[in-house]
Amino acid sequence: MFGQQLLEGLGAGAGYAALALALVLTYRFTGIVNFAQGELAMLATYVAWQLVDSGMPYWAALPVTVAVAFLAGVVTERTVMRRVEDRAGELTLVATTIGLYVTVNAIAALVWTSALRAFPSPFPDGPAGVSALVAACVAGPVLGAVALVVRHTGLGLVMRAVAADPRSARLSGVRVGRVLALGWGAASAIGAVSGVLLAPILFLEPTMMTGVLVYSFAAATLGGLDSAPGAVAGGLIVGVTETLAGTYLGFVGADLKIAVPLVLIVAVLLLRPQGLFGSAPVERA
Amino acid sequence: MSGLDVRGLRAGYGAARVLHGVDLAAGENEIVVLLGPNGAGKTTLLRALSGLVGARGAATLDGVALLGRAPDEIARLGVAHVTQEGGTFGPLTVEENLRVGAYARRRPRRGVAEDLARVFTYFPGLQAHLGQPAGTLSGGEQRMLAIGRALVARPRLLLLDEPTRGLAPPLRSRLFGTIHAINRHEGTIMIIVEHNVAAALEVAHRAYLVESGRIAGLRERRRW
Repeated sequence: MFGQQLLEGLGAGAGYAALALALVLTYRFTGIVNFAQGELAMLATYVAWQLVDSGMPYWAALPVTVAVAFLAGVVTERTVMRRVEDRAGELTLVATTIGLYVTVNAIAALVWTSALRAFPSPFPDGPAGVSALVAACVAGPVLGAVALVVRHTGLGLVMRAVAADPRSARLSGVRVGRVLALGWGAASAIGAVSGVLLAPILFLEPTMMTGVLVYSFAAATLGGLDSAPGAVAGGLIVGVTETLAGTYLGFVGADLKIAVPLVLIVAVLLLRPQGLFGSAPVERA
Repeated sequence: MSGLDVRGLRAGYGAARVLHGVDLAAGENEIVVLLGPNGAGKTTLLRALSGLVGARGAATLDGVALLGRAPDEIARLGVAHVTQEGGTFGPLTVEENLRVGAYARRRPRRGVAEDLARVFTYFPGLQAHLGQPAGTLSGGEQRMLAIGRALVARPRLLLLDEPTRGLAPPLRSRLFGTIHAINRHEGTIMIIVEHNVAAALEVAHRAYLVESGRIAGLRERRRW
């Protein structure tokens, strides 16, 4: 029973971790907290569902979905965010992403209606724990690849430079617009992984990622908003605590489960404001 | 024509016009110093040349038009701008900061080792901090890192905005010595905004006095 719960928690946690990683990537490389991250992931999940529904095998639909999500992220940055990035303050940017949230949500409801749909699991007949293992198998390499790119490639270097100081990056000849678009694309692609991982557990509907977004914000805050490994660890911790608390703490149950990450956020912010893995700013006065 | 040629440059911020038609030239291997009171438009002039503020008029570097292009494109045309703030990438290490400088070149990864070695001949102090985040360096070291990063780009034209601001006097004259050496060895054309008139004139081939957004005077080296 406990092992089963633990596996389920890890499975959900892998989904939260992926969306948290997407949030962290967008935040680190563009300075924007993207409230629409979950909705972009939801849209991608519908694309995956549509592909599988029209007869494409699950494992073929997954990379296609990730590619579509990548493009959607790039297009969103180029067409919407680009117009406000340079000129607007942080509040405007946040408001823009909330506008995106509502718009994407409405588009999904318009195209696919708000009916609940069952999303296929890659192993429909396996025990529940299998989905957790699948989640880990998909999420692991994605996260590893991101870390590798960010730490050890030229692209990662310019991305970090843009994140630190876009104006200086521009003056150094970096094509900042392209880097930002790539960042949005990558974040959106990782978000798509999150949606596809969670859809078999959650059922597919336009609001499926709303709660997930809260969990993922909790995960990102827990790990430190600027730390990719922190986001992953945070996602797993939130997934497991939420599942275990829902099962073993009688007063929490299914109804109060969503409060668990919020309690975690507050606790972490009180004890360690930069998050578990986040870096306190280093700047010599 | 080779070198920098600026004619009738007008620029400003929104409705506020700061430069009202500036003519300026910097020939092959020249160091040009901009002098003048605060608010005269010296910084805006540098910003207009690097594309940070929009400008009208004409500015060409070796005959190639600079105005109307984005800052990153101008950087790739061989213009490096070290701003007053320096603009080092705080969380990146010193070495990473220098490597970013190479992105203004056609092949950002080729010959970087040689470029770094070249930067260390001018700023040997940086070598000891290679793995350290730039944000933890002292103000003087950050300034050197910013200039070093600009050098990695192998610029044709280097714009330096108050490079010695906030530095102790001995450091200031040493930095000007280094700037002079860079100009001699690399042949980089330089435009320097500087309040420290004596130190600046020592290395300048030519000095413009900027007042209220216009050129109010020009002195050539042989006449001061």
